[in-house]
Amino acid sequence: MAVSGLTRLVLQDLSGGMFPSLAPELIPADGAFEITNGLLDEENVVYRRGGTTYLSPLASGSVRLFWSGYLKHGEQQTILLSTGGSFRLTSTGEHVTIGAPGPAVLTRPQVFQGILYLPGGNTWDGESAGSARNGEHYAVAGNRLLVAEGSKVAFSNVPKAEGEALTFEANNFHQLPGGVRITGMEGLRTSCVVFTTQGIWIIGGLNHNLTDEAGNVQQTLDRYSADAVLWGTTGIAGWAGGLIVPCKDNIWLMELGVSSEKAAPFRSISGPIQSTYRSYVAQGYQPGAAYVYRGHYFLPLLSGDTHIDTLVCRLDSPKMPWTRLKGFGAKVAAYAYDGTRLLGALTGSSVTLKLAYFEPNSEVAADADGSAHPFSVTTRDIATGNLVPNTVMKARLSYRMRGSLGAKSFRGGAEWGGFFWNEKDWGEEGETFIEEAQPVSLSMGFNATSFAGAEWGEFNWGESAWASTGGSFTVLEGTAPPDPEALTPHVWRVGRKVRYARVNISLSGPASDLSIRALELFIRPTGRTI
Amino acid sequence: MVTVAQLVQNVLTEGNFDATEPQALQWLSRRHELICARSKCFRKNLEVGPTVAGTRSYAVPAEVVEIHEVQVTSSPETGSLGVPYGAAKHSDIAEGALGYIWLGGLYLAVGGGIYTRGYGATGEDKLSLYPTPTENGLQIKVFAVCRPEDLTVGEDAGLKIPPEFADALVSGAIATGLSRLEARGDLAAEHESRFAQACDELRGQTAKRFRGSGPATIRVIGFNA
Repeated sequence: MAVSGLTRLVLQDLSGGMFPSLAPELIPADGAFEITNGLLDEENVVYRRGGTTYLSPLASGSVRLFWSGYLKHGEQQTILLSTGGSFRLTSTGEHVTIGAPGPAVLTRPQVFQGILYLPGGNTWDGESAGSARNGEHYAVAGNRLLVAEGSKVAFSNVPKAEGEALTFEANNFHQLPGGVRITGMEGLRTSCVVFTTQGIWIIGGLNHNLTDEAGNVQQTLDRYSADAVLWGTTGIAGWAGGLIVPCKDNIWLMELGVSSEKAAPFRSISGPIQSTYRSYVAQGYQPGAAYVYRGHYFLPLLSGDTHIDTLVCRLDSPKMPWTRLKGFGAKVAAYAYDGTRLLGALTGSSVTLKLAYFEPNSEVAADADGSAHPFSVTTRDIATGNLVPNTVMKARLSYRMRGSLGAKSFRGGAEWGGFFWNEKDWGEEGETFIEEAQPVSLSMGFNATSFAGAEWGEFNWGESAWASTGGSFTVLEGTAPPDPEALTPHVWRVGRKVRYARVNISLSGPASDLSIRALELFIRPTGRTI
Repeated sequence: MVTVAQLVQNVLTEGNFDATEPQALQWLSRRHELICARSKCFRKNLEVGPTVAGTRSYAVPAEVVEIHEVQVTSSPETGSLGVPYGAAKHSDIAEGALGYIWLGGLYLAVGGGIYTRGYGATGEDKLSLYPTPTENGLQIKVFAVCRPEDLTVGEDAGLKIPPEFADALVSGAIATGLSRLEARGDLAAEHESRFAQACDELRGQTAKRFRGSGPATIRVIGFNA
């Protein structure tokens, strides 16, 4: 209920994610301009991602492949191929050198019958390296291995027994017409999606032979799209029976029909981040090894061995909201899941981390290097009323926030059971071991303008990066302290007369549990109509 | 002790205005002048002149709102006290020139006369004396209600109202802001009312300060006893 003379605007729903590409006043009511290091939980509440810990701090050059799974030999294993060597990582992060050949560029492997296939015809079966039919890209579909060579896709026989060697009959291939070159392939049920320089093709019916005994063609070659061109094969990830495909114009969700293998129409999922995404493409960046985990699509953006950004899309939400990750623990080039935890290999160093993005707690309030990963939410432009400037008097934020336990210190007398042998000298008589919380607080910035960088409608694509969070915020006096029970909203005095209000909420310090519940603006409407 | 800086911050903070400090200071200054004018609380003893033989009218300082008393010394050597001049109508000067005015009492012994306020040819404020002074150098002392200078941050002596009325000053400034800046006369009304009440209260306080008990009453039996 509004206080007499005041209007109360509430921003509670951020389920639409961030819309850095839209004019801030056009962002939907359930969206924000920017969400950094925030994820959306089941109730669509934005929470700060958990931090990271080292699986192994050993740097071994630039990552070229990071994968975890079961191979023919050695059961479940986590493989790291980098410019500094080829390794199998133990559960404790120990690097065990293996003889797998390292690819020249960051690669997504294909695994068929327990053998890892790498571009160039190299294979690894968990124990020894081998060779296969040489190809630029591999895919697995219909229980066959497909190999891309230029504009031709060759497919193997269907193995009749485990371990049977693959054969490629001379006529078992599809020649793509139109003067195209294959840039990637991915299996999709019994079809293979072939990405080319001039669109996308689908080879269907791979569970059948090319022709039947009467010579009737049983496999199909369909042109699925004439204009969607794949941006990078490493950005492809599978989800819910479909594929997430980063093309040069948009990120598409490709699916086949439920009751048939007929391809369903594409669905673009990159609408909210379209301009940002296209600017990355225009600047010549490449996608890292994307991954889908817990219904979230993680897309790293790289410039060579430099990490640029990580965009995250929550696929299992109808709105498919986007957020972005920053900080040491977000500079991941490739992800892997070893059956119990999400792992990441950092860009440029191949340092491997255990990623606790979805399990924030006091143990992972910061990233592995000790840095407190930043958290901020920048709201959309909120009209204060009647398209005239009105005075925003106060802003009130409801949130949940816990500090993190940090440095241990001695005070008072040593407590029985509270002293860790070999960590410190036994204290003097009368000292007590206490864990102290590191200071954390939330600050609020207020802004009335749109962008400090590029102006809407005046930005020339490909010339420079789209402006970041847009505009400089005036930091309001006072900070919000931890509130573990979310019972005490914090109030900031604003006192600004604006037509549109935009708020930035940012964290200082390593909070172990932070979620944003609601933002209220108390506005004194002006009596003027113009 | 109330400071001008505090008042400015109070206006901006309590009124929640998106305004600058100079703007808030200006509102406070205008309201300060208004409360002083309405309550007549700021009074000064000023010197106008000295007299010039044959000159009837003398410039009145711009800060003077209302003249309560005029004294003119009877000779240049006289100390701080002068002869009181009576307040007259504007037309009395001209009538005096025609001999219609009769001055009695100690006039012939010690001088004296009447005064009026008038305006010069370009509208400047003037104090006119009758009879026209015939000596040079006599001091003309004026006891008047004055308007204060504009408030300045850091110069707290410029505040001419008692500290208990500082809140009302802030209310007045907030009322100005709400009316002019936000066009919210409805919200300004409450603050305006508080300011007006304070003006009345300060006027009453000032009146008590300058009102004596009056002449003593002699009780006469059968008449007023």
